[in-house]
Amino acid sequence: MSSSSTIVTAGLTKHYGDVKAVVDLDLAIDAGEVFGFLGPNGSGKTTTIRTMLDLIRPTAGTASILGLDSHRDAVEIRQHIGYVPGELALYRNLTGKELITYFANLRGGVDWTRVNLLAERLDAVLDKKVGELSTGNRQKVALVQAFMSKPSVLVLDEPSIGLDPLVQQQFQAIIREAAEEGATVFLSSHTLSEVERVASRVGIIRTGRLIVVETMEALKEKAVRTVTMQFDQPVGEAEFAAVAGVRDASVDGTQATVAVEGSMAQLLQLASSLGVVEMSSNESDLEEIFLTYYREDAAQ
Amino acid sequence: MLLNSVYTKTLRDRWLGVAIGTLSIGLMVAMGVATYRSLDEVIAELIRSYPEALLSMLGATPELLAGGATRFVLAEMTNFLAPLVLAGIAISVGTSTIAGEERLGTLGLLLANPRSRTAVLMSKLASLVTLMVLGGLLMWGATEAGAAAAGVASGTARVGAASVHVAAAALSFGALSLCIGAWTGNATAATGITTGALIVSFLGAGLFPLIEGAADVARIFPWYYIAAAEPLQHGVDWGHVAILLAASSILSGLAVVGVNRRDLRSGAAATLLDQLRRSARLARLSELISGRAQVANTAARTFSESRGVAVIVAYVMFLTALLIGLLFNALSDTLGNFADAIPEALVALFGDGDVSTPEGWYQLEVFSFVVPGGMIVVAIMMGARAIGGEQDNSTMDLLLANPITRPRLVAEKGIAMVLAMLVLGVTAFAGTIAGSLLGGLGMSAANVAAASAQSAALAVVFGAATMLAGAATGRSRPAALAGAAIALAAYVANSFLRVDPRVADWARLSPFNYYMDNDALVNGISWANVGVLAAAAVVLLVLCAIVFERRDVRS
Repeated sequence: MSSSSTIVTAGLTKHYGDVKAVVDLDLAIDAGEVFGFLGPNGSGKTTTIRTMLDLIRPTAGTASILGLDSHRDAVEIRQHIGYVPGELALYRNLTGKELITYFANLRGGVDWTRVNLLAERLDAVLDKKVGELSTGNRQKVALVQAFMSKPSVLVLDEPSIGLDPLVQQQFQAIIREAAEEGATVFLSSHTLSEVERVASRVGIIRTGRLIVVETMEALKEKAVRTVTMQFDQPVGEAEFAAVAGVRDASVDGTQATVAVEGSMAQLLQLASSLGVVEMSSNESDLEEIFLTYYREDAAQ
Repeated sequence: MLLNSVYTKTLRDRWLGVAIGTLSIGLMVAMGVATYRSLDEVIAELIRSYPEALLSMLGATPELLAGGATRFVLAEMTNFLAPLVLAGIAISVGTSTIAGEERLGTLGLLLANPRSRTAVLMSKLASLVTLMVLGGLLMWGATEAGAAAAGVASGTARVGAASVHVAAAALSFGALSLCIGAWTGNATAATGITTGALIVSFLGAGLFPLIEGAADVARIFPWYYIAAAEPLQHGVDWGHVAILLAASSILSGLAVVGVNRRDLRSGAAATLLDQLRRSARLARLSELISGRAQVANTAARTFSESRGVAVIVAYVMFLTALLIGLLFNALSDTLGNFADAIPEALVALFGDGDVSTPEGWYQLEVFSFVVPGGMIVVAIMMGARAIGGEQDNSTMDLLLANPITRPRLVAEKGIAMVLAMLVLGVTAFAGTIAGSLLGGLGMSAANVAAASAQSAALAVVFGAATMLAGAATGRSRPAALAGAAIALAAYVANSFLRVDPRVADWARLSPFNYYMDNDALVNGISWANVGVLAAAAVVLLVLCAIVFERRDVRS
């Protein structure tokens, strides 16, 4: 967190009557960072985003983007923002091209070479009326309009809904390129694998409260891997259970299966000393971590 | 066969609209009766001298009016305003039955249940019938209560009987919109065509009886059966009611056939214009009507989005204005008797014109209802879509993620509305001038332009009020209802208040006063009146910007 962060919220709070949609949210996201914003349905993700964009006003606290106040300097902020709303609705009577021209005119022009390039990469249909497009194809039009002005801040609320896996891949590449060029990406998503692939840091929000902000590396360190080992002789369960980071161990004769969190160095040492002949490990399961955070907090 | 849940859901969604509509009628009756009470003498004089033809157009006969002021107000309510209100609700319910659910994308889910299309349609039709029965009863009760509140009893007037006719006529319009929706799956077409039919029906039922030898043509219009048998005087004419019910049944039967023989849509249907566009032969025509979407800025986009409806309204307006010019000569003998017959006081209702002159005739037939009415409908529609509609459609989020301030958005939407009203004003002008030229009436072009411009200014005021309601609620439907209620109340208030010198000053609160009181067709433009209307519109738009600026955008 630094004072020159691109997106900063301080004590951001939004109540709807008695319902506390967002409570005391403190965030700081730096330039060039892809920030994954996660949380269950109704946790306050979209409310946070809509407050940052001045579509709704905070009950307390502030949000600033590029050092500008989200309410006072809303119009100036929007010069620099590309946005994909969570509940996407486009003007159905316009073609994709007309829609993009319209938004481009509101922004004072557009680089059509870039639009065409984006449309090509995402396989977006721009010559049909938006109302005639499928959900996925509408989403592509929304993505083109969000990225077309090379914005320095991208606010993406569930941006990959309806996209096929190939287009998802392209979209993730576009996000990474934007970040490499210095853009800040605020990515709210339920597609955990997507967040895992593109985000450098994630925040998890639940019932309006931010419960954790971690870098992806730190989360991966916490991730639990399941390791299965085959030995040349029977081994004891207690030896594995005693290793630092091992959460769970079970032994069946010459085969041991352990769940380990963080570094595997000690486990490998032990396995080697016991005469391991074969070893397999699954990928660290970030999804499980995310879900644990969801559940842990739910239980509180 | 009747699906209880479908039936009760429709009732639950709609009963409030029916209640508010009929309650408004009661309030207007109270206001009207209170104002007219002092005018019994004037009314009596009127009845002695009023030509039968004009009274027939108003749906009131001398016989009926023998009851005096109360009867006159009741006749106006039951023959004109109440059918308009109830038919409007019926059209809305009829459209939503099939086409509306397709537009929302909910029909697929509904029909994923083990129920037939026919069962769903019939259940919704049953709720439409129930709502119309309820509407009729409430209208009866509200009208009686309104009259009683004003200190008079409705006397021997048979308001209940008139309510039966009104409800049956409204049902037939509801069945028509249901039928069109069932065949096309296009909610816009269902509402648009039925509303057009309603207007044509009103004009046809009123005008054909005036034309010698063509009086029976009026019988093809449902509106004719509302008042032709004078139910207020003679009680229910079951023959006429049966005709309306038979028409409703036939239309419902056709709806069942229609909905069962086509693919259902999911999500917004292509508009009628889109469908025309797909036909190569008609593509050019539809392009001509709707034009290309304009995306230069928000004002241009808003204007182009409303062009389809505006063109249709303009077309109706132009034709009416043209035909009325030709009719003047055909009817001039009858109209000649009007000049001395109508007391000053009552003429106020229809504009201060002498209907034996072309200007007075146009004022009554075109500029008292069709032109301002058409413009106000388009203005209210645009006003409702402007701020409320963009939030209903969830497009406001993306729009406001662009570098545009909310006040600028309000201003651009306002400009689009003014532009649309100017186009309609030019059309009304052109139609009237064409009618005047073809009929050899020699009306002043400057004065016709003045009346058209004042009507446009009037409509902008109601459009702006609707926009303000949309900004306050974040929804288009309550905004449109508020706009329509304000316009209707302003019209009725102006008409009734102007008649009684003791309260005439209060009419100045109504925007209609600034449209009608200078009688632009005769006296030319009143810049003061235009100024008042323009100032009111600007104030409403500024308020709209302030309110919208302070609100959270609804998602």
